[in-house]
Amino acid sequence: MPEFLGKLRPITSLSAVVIRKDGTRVDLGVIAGKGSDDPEEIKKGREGRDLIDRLIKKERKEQRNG
Amino acid sequence: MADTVYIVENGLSVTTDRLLTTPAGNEPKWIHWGIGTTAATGADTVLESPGAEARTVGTLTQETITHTNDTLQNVGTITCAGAGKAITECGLFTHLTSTTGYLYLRATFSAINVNVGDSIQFTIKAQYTHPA
Repeated sequence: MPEFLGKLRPITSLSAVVIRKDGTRVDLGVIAGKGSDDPEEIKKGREGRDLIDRLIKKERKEQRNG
Repeated sequence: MADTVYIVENGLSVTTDRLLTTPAGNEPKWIHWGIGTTAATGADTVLESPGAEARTVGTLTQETITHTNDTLQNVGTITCAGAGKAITECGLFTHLTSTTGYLYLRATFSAINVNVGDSIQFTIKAQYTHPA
């Protein structure tokens, strides 16, 4: 009896949106997998992370100052 | 940090199991995150350094990228508890707890900093297509 081997290739990607405690949403775009090397996605991810870091830094400073 | 996503070896078995009339395992709907920095590989069976937060159930749907319904998508959100952290890995699991079930997919990426109360909504896509 003949045997047949079918093959599939999975293509994966991961996108992320950070939702801050106050409801602010920061879209980081495609952060891993297919599409993550697109210059637009790299820019979106970098700028989004920078914004989050600034917001967290500001928040921690405010907490320290009461 | 390599930005990488793998349907891991156990995930391949989950895929074929779910094609059976009576699958032995669950669908990979539980999402978790962690702070492990070793790049994902196909041999991974767990997250390297999972967060203390519980896994959450994402919304699984079929989506179309090239052919109708060729893609499994899971959208889920995890909220940071305990202390701020730098999230660098994410996984999809077939069960709520780590003692049962399988890791289906693991991703690693550049750090995303979160404070307590902040969340990350992940959208994970696995498109099944023909070999290149």
